[in-house]
Amino acid sequence: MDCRKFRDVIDSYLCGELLVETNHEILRHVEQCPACREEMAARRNLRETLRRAGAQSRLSEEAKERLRHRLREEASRSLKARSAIGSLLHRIFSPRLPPALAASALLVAGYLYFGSHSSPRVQAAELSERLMQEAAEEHNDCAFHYKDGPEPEAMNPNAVAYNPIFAGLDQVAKRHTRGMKLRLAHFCNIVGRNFVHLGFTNGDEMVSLLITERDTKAMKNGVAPTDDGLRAGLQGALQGKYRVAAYQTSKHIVLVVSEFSEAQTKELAESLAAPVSEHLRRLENLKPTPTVTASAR
Amino acid sequence: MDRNPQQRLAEFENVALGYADQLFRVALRLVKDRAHAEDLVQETYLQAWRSFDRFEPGTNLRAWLYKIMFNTRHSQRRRRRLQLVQFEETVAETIAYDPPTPQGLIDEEVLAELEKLPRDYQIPVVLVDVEGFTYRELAEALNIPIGTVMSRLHRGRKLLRMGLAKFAHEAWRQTATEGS
Repeated sequence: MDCRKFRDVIDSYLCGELLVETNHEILRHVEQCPACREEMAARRNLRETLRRAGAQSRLSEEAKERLRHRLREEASRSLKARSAIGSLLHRIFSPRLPPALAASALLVAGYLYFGSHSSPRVQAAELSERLMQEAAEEHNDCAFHYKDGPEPEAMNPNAVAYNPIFAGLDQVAKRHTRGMKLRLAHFCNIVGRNFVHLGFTNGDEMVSLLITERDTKAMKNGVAPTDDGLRAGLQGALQGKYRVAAYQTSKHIVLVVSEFSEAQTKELAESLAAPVSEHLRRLENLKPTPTVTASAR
Repeated sequence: MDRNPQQRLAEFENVALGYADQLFRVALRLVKDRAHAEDLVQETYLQAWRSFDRFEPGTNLRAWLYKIMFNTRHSQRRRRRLQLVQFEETVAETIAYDPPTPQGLIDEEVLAELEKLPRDYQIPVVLVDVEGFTYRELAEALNIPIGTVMSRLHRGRKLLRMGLAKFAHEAWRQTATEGS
């Protein structure tokens, strides 16, 4: 691969859109060419800046509330058309009252119904696609750089400063890696999310074990989960060429990312992510998680 | 399919509302005013809710929501073609020029340069580089072939880098002049 081609595809590489073979060519080129190495770092930096700076605006809480309100209005309109309550109310009100008033009465009925039945929203603690994507990106961005790295001696101090329960996590994980080599044990937020990242190699293949906070953004419904995460079980997703599988504890999400098949990913998650989740669950129960003050460096 | 609309709505809210912030950010680029962007997002969700029965579970919900938003916006105003033609030329002129990406970027600079990109290039860059879309998801959301997606993205990113390089160069010249 020459420099021109490299510069053409480098952005696609950074977002994990290239074939494995091309990835290898990229890495080979970058090893030999300092100028392209620098360019890659600059592009990565640009991407991070875009991601961080571009994703600042949010829909205001009032606007969200208005939105839910309008949706419920719509739903109670179809309720009016379909349900028995609707037709009953309709029969009671419509002959005597002006239609607008009848409609608002239905609306009230809709709210009352919702008020007492709002629980279906919470059901299973489903993970957001965004989280799956961030995990795949974290894997793509970090893992390859450490592919041939020496085995780290301990968890990176930043991970421990972030939360002391991560001290010794590398040792726990190492007991369940079935011969994979540990290459990386750091704390990182390259994609805008904090990850404790353990990277392993299995021959030529990279495997990442990622632990992150179980916050609202990690949840599909955007609501802070209140359960212990056990019922969520194993959840998986395919992100480009990467497969992600995740377990949840009450405070954290433990993910594995690799290019394995679905069945292999499941097995990997069960053998590696499950015991790590168990370990974290025990520690989470021992003491309340300290508030997060450290940030990635 | 003949379930209680409220259960259905709960299901819809559960899977779809998580994207409200993302949709809003892109809506802001389409209409440039918070109030209109809020309206556009609301209209998008209402449309999506009305056709939720036609959404196939397992297909990409996020891309589907964006597709609805672009269609909604498109039907609101129909004169957008002109822009593209002009810029194709600018891009063709500069196609061979690709300066190194400057280091040490400032958020505001990057946002300002992003803002300057023509809409047809800006939106792909935002969806992929800010919101984390895959190329395939982007093609689905914009309803255009994957090849077109890739070339727009490529050009958009390049225009952005060129803008930033120019910015960096000017800033450097300014300090040089002040120093002398």
